[in-house]
Amino acid sequence: MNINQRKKRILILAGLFLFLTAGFAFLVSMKMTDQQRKLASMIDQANPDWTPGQKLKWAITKQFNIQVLDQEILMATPMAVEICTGNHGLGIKLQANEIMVAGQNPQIKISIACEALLAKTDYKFSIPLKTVLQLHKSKELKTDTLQFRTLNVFSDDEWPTEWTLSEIEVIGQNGFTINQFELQEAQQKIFTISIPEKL
Amino acid sequence: MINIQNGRFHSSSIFPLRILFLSCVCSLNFACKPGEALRIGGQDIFSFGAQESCHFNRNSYGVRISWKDVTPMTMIIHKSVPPEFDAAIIAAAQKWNSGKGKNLITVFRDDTWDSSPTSDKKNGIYWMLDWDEDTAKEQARTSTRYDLSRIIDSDIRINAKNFVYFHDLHTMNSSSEVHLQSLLVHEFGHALGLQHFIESGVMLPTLKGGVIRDEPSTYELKELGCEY
Repeated sequence: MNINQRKKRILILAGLFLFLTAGFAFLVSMKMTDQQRKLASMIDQANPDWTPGQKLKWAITKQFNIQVLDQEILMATPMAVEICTGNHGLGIKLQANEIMVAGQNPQIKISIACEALLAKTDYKFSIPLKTVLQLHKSKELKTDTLQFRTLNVFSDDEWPTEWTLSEIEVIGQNGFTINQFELQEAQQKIFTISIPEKL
Repeated sequence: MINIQNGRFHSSSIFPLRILFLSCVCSLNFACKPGEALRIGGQDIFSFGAQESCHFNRNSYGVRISWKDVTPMTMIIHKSVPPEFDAAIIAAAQKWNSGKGKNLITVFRDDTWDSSPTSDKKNGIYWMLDWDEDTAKEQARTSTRYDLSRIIDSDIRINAKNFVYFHDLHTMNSSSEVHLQSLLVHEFGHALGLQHFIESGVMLPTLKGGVIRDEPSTYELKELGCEY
């Protein structure tokens, strides 16, 4: 093969390489924007076409926060007043990571009455870990302010230590749910918390 | 599904080359339909859009959870299981193997193995004489642990406290007894990653006493084919 032919071959290979790299980058960007496109109606808060309900849902989703601190799960809902207007409670669903029972992930649903939510002036609500861990043995629990229910959590199974916030539910006449993907989109993260088996 | 031959990367220089190779295939063939996944190191770590469930559970990235290439799944019959049921358990596993025409599940007894159901990367079948009162109506339960998209541990507990089991109709003493082979075919389906089906088949959520239902349906085998 002479030099010219070699140069030609190199140019062709280089062109192919650039084309393929561009193609890959295009596919990756399509994948990354897929969720955004699906939730397009929630992306632009200033969208004048949004109903007041959509704007409220977006704002609640954006401002919600949950974390585990020492002996408690701390939940922050700055928009508690708006949540509780026409509604009577707030529910969160935690889904266990990396474990399935009969093909379904274990779940914990925690419901908080609006009276309890609004009683906190800073709208930060504490859920004691000690109470959550009792769910390893009890399917349902009730305290003065909280109701707990589990699905696929069994006393003879290991306690799942890693949980993801999979749903928020506003309970009442004007109720709605916020799923994990809407949370992810609004907050650009997945809420994952660790609940140890023993405190 | 796009596959890398041995699924392992040996040095940092080979990894980007494999990504480039796979992206080349996608770009040239426009083969990256929604649900196509990149499998690296035996894991589906990247999916072009969420995968269709095919009655499998999916992780938070929308990727189906299964044993992936790590088959056959080896199930150990724990010493707590009465030996007279071994044949039924092995036959239950064979229903899936012969249905798919491949070795998905192997079963053997190990009476020296004294573990309890736990996340130990050993898949056991246990005969439970103790059972939670709240779930007394549950005939069996399969707990499965997974890492990202690959199952790493599956344990089957059989409720021997609240149920009596039979081999075949000749050995059935009462219509309330449960056909063990049918039960295990169902639980093996869960161990492989399948959820319940609402259509007919072995993966229906309930199995009545006296009923023999141990043949996976054509639809169930087709759905299983999404992963195996």
